[in-house]
Amino acid sequence: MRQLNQSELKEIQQAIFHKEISSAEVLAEIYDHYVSHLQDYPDKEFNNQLFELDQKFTYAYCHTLQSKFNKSVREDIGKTQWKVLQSYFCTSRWIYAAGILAIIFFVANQAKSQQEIGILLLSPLILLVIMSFVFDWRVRQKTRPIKRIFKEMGIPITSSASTPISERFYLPVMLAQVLIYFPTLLSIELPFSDLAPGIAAVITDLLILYMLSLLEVWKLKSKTAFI
Amino acid sequence: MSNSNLIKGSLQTIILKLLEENEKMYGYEITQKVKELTAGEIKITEGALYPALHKLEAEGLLTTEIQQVDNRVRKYYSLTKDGQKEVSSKLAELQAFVENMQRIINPGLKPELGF
Repeated sequence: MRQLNQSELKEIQQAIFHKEISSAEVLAEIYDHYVSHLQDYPDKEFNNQLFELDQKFTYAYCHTLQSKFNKSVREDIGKTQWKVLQSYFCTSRWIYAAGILAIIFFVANQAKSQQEIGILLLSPLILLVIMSFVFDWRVRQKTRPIKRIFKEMGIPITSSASTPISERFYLPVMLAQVLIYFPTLLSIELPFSDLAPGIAAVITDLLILYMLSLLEVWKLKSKTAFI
Repeated sequence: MSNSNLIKGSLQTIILKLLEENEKMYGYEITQKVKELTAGEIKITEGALYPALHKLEAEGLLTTEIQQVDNRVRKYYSLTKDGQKEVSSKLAELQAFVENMQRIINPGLKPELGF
């Protein structure tokens, strides 16, 4: 095994540029394969071996690999979050879920006005927005090394896991916006009733469990993806 | 040896078996290990390897770990608990298949294969 020089590494990067791969995970894996393979050959065989690799990792092959990988990551994130949510109710962790529920019910019952209920409902949504900013910053940090290598490539590079998780951060926020603006658009006045604190507590509790499960998914997937 | 069609069906078993013996491996390392074990008779193509690795990962049989190596990132694959259980069943399946093939090819021969 030999160390490749800068011009050889540049040639490898140029060869991979043309494949226009946007998934940081797929790109890193293909780049590592190219470098590991070429390190096993003397410098005089470099061009032939690089050409052979290019014949194997064609544009179509790389894009099929990327598209299947993105799909499986998306499905995996959904399944993992569902498993984490189930674990809050099926294992010893139910005590935490019950504790959160009790605290939120207590807080909700202290609410005396519609504004206070609104603040209670908004708090997990604000936390989700903050988390999504932190998540985006973390993805940028983690993908920086691979972006630096392929900075001349025209297309943006991001983790395959970042879009499905980002969507999950924004989904409740967008739903809440619809729920808030829809009655306003139709000029529907919602009266403050005795049931309001209870309903708000259930919604807040669901949002908090959703947020905690998403945080766990992020933590779990951070070991396997650039997030 | 032109045996890519024969290998295709056993690729997942080969990957699982290699990962059972070696705690964690990366894609290129797997291709080289197979080449080394079979003295170059069997070559796993990249075209088949990565889709198979990603499929096993999606099925929850493999887990991955990202590590910084030199100035690049390397993705290591290792077996999950489900993957460890799956190895023996996949090997038994392959062994039964090879034994049946032996019976077809050499009807008089009693196969004694072991993995």
